[in-house]
Amino acid sequence: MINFADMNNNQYTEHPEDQFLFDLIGKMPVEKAPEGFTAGIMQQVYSGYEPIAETPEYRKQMLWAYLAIGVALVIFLIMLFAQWPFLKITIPTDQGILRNLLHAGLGFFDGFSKVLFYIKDSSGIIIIFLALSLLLIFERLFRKGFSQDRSFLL
Amino acid sequence: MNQPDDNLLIQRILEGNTAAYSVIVDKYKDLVYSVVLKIVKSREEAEETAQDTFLKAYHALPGFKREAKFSTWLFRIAYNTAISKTRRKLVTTLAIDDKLIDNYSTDEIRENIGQLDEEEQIKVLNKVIKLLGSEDQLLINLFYNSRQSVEEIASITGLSEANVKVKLHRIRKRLYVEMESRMKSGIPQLRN
Repeated sequence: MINFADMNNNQYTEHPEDQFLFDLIGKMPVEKAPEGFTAGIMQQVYSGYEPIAETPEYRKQMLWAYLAIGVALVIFLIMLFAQWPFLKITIPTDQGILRNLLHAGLGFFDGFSKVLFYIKDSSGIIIIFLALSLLLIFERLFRKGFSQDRSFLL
Repeated sequence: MNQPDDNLLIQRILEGNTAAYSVIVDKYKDLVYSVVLKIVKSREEAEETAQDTFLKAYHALPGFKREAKFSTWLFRIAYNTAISKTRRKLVTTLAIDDKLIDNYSTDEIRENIGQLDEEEQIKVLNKVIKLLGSEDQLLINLFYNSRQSVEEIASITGLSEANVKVKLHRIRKRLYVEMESRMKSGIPQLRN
C-alpha cells in the first residue's frame, strides 16, 4: 500500500474543509484487490511480450534487420529474374580435381537455374508464396538473438 | 518501508527487469481496484477490469511520456477501461437545496464526529458516501483516497478542471449536510 503520510499536505488541500475529510476518509478501509491479484497479473505478463523501450541501440538493431531483409529481397529478385550469363561459359574438362570441383559447382548452379526457370514458368501464386516464405525465414533468422521477443512480420 | 520511485521502477522494467512490475502492481492494486469498483459495481467485473488495466499499462509502458504522474496515467487507463466495459454513464448525485447546503457548521460537525469512536466515524461516513452517485464516489476516491489533484482528476475523467472543482465543492458540502443530518438524528441509529 502507498504510504501517503508524506503526501498529506496542503498541496492536496484546496479547501479548508478538506483536511478534516482527508483525515476522516483516510480512516476508512480501501477496497482490497483479491488475493493472488499480483501473481495473476505477473503470470500473464511473463507469458506475453516484454515492453522494452525503443532505445537507440534497439533502433540500430532494427535498422540492420530491415537492411538485411532488403538485401534478401534484392538477392531473391536477382535469383528469380537474372539471366545467369556466366553459366554459358564453357569449361575445359581435362584438368583433374579442380576441374571436377568446378564442374560440380557449375552443375549445381545449372540445376538451381533450372529450378528457378521452372518456378518462373509456373503459376504466380507459387512465386508469391515462395517469396514470402523466404522473407519470413530471413526475418526470423535476423531477429533471433534480439533482446526483444518481437517480429515485424508476425 | 520505503518504496522505490515509480519512474525508477519503470526504468528497470524497460531495461528488461520484468519482475519490477510486481512492485508497481502491489503498490497500486487496491487503489485501482477501488476506483474501477466505483464504475463497474460488481466485484468480479472490477477484478477483471483491474487486471486489464495493469496489463494494458504494462504493454503501454514504453509510450509513457512521464509528463503526468504514473498514478494519474494508470488511473486514466483504469477509468477508460472500466467505462468502455460498462458502456454506461456514471450517475451524479441529485442536486440538493443550495440554502440547505450553505446552512451548516463544519466546526459543529467536526466536534460531533470527534465524539464518536473511530468505528462509528467510519460507519457515518460510509452511510453518507453510499448516498452519493457513482461519479461522485469516484471523485471522492480519486481526490481523497488516491490523492489526485483537481487537474489530474480532470485528465483522468475527461471533465474540465472547473467542472471537477465545482463537483468536489458540492460533494464536500453534501457530505457535511448528510453527516450533520445523521448526527442530529442520533448516534444510536448509526449503529444500525
